[in-house]
Amino acid sequence: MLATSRPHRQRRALTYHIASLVALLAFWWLLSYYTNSAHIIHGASALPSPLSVLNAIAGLSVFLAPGTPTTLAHGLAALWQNTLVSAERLLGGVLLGAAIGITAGLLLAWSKLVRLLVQGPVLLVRTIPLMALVPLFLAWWGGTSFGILAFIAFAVFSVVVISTVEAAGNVPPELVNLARTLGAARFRIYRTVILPAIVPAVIGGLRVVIGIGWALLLAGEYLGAQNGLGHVLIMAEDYLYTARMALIVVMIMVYTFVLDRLFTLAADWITRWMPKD
Amino acid sequence: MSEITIEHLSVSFTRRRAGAFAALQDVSAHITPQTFVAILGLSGSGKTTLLNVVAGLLQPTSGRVLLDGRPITGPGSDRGVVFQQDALFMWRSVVKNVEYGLEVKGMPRAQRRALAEHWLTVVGLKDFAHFFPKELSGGMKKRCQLAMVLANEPTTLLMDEPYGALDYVTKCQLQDELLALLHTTPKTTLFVTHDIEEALYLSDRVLILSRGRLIADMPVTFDSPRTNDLRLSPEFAIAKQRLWRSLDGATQQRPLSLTGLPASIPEQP
Amino acid sequence: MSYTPTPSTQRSLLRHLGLKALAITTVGAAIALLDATGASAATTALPHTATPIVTPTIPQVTVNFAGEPYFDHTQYIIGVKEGFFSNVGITLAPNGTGIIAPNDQDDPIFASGRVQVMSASAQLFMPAVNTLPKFKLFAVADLFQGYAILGRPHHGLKSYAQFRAQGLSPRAAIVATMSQMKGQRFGYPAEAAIKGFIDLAFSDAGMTLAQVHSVVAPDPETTALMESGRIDFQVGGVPSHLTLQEAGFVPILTSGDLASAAQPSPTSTALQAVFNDGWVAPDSWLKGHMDTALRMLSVDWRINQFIHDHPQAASAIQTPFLNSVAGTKFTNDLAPRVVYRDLDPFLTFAQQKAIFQDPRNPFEVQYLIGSAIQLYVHNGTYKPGEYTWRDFTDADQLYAAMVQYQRQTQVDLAKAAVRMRSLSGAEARTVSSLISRAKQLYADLDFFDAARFAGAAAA
Ligand SMILES: Nc1ncnc2c1ncn2[C@@H]1O[C@H](COP(=O)(O)OP(=O)(O)OP(=O)(O)O)[C@@H](O)[C@H]1O
Ligand SMILES: [Mg+2]
Repeated sequence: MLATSRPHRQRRALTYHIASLVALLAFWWLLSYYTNSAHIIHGASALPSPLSVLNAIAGLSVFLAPGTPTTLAHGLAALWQNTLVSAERLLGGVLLGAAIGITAGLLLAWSKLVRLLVQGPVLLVRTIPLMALVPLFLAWWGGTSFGILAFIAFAVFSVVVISTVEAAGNVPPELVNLARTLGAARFRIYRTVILPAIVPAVIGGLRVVIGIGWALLLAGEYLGAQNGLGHVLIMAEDYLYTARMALIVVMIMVYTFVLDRLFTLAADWITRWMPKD
Repeated sequence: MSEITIEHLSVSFTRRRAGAFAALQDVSAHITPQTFVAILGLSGSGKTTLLNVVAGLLQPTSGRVLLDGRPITGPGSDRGVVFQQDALFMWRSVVKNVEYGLEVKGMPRAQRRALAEHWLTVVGLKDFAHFFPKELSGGMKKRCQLAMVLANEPTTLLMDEPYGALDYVTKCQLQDELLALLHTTPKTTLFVTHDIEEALYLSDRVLILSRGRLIADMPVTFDSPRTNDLRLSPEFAIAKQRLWRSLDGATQQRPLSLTGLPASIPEQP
Repeated sequence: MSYTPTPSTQRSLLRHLGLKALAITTVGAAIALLDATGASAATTALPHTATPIVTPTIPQVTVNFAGEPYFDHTQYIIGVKEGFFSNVGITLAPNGTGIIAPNDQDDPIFASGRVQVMSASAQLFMPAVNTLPKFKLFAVADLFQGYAILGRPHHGLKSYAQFRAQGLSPRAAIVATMSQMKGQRFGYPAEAAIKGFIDLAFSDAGMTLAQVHSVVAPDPETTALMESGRIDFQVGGVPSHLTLQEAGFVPILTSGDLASAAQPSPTSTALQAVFNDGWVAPDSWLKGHMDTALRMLSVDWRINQFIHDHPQAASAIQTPFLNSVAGTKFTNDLAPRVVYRDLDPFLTFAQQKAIFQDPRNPFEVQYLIGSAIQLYVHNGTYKPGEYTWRDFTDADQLYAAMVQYQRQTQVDLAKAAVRMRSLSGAEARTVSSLISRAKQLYADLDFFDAARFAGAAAA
């Protein structure tokens, strides 16, 4: 038995987390201070300081519209606007990819013929290195929001379809038999037994892609995005705005963390029936 | 009604290495309506296989099984099955599990809920209606499964070692509950077990399977209602002894006969 | 597309693009060209008959367009904002402004076929010729000559131009300019294109890199080192060039300087660091939309003329737009001071004669593209003889065709003026309006449509 209670332990963990974050920030600050003073430079620098990253927010103002004056409020608005655009693409891509992946996975599990025909290619899909697809998607859909969405959807699909097929194959046969002896026909069994039974496995697959979701989005926004965080990052790269690049990277980290938390909360609620050990 | 006629039933499985394997060989039996039949046998003797054929989950290799004179072609809600493994829909609450069969029948929501709650009361799970299966104990899970099956009002009950994994006292309680229940709503029951006492206590008749063959078919004639006192009575002990020998004999591959068994309890060796 | 040329138009356009000797063509050929547009057609060549006067129209056309987030590929926004495109019936799609494709995305986006016209550097597209749809540069906007060795201000440095102004020969001016770097600290990136420029500058000056203290580092670092005074000279990409020049650093030698001193020949390596910036389109699109291409060419000139005449106003349109797509913080006074003057001077219609029809000019299109082909053959991208400069551009032919239309307009306007004297009433009004429309289009540099209206007026 542990002597400490659960909430107490959680509070202690939080303290450690915050402490380590603060230490990391201090380290970053010191390192940037050192590299900057070593070069005795101003303006663009190899490692921007945390302060310069914060200051970079105002610089985003120009993204709002031609001639927008540079203020913190405008910068925040631009950051928010581009975040929304990106989040929309990410969410759209994840939903589309998951929907197609689950449907395809279920079709595969449903029919032996379909499985024989397409399982090979579908399994191959998983082995395609995603980043190698960027130029291809660029050529197909470059410069359109749909291309970005499709890229994310593809990544999600390739993971989800496999988890779905595997999970559908792993549904305990006694559950299917139970439904059959209770009079359920094949389609109902699919809807009421197979589908809910694969949810944990599909969520497990999704968790993998969600973890790299924002990174995928950035890769996707290399497909000629006209706006969004990736667009801002690419342009900053082009024009050597290192502080702005760091700002976007930090924002992506924050969003990744937030998305992961939200997803975990949702996933835990959806699979609350699962025995946890 | 539901009377079950098993005619020269054989089931064989093809195993990857060993070729065909006969899980049931030429089993014949006639089970009259509303009889409680215990199927007794050692592990691997083919009990589950037999039950699955009656449930319609498994096709005979040869021979046939008739239900009220008609061959069984597949599973149906007229035969409720309580599986050996804990078969519950983990993602549904207890009451929603019980409602499942009613949902399949297309019963309206309110009616279905009322009926499910009734059966939960019968099996003593009323207070756990909104729990998920993971929050139930082993015995509660069995009760839930039973409620799930009973809600469908089957005429035949097929139970596969339902109480195998439970402690003795709980097991006895559940047995009594089952008998009480069948007393009010009689059903033809096939009850698979490897527990001799359980077979005797519950059934009107015991079938013994050994290596896929039916090696004994024995009526059980204790009066009902049966109570826990019966378990300690000398007749019960004698009957247990006889069944034991049958099972033991089956493993020793001695030719068996049910005649000539001692009428009194023999001393322990 | 709201406008599709008739098959016969296409056929004759193909024919006229195939005519090699257009640059030195006759008036007869010009009439054939006019004929080819299918507009006011045969009537010009036939003796005058009493046919009713046909008023030509300029169709409304949508062009899927892409620019790049740099000064030399966003000037088109001036044409959008000033109505130069709409004036000749062209709308850029999507959103009236097209899309923006950064450097490393322009090839694939062009390859996607969703873009009909892209503002790009022909020389940067050329290496990808085998993976791109067959493309042609059909309008030149500017010559990029922006690789430059930058030095610190107020250090008594003299630029190549200043040495030339003192009367030094090109060769001597290069030697004098580069000699200022001896023993100094010189920062540059490891990038191949820039390294090519550096090697050329040193070899032209008879120097080697051993005579300077090299600091090889990415642009952000060399930029910062320049700003902090820790190196004396620097070469980098355009962004770092702009940053440093905005901070007061001065270019002493540019790729344009080296090129201007070079032999007018495709074998001149000095020309390899000068690019033809302009509008590139898939060959297939060009063949079917020659009218639109000619009109776009007129808009190209009008934009460049506007920049030439009103650099401040041009920058006030272009700079905020560039800032809004690239997130940059360029001030409006940078472009007139640096971009329009040194980095990539936009060429007006009058100035373009020199790059299309002056064989003694090293910047002639065939030399610039020819030298790039030599480079790509040299580094193994092309097989020797695989491509000629003609495979990559039609800009000279479109230019020549427009000059012919310009002349034709003059001829027809004179004819129309004579005709006017014998006309009265409604007919006179119609012809007079045709004449004034032709004159307006002529002033707007759309000689193609001007010729159509003038032709209708003269018929
Ligand atoms: N699907 C199958 N494929 C191959 N062999 C099988 C299959 N199902 C059962 N068997 C074999 O048939 C025999 C009888 O199995 P069955 O499950 O009927 O035994 P059981 O009497 O129910 O045993 P237990 O008391 O352990 O449940 C066993 O030897 C088993 O290995
Ligand atoms: Mg079994």
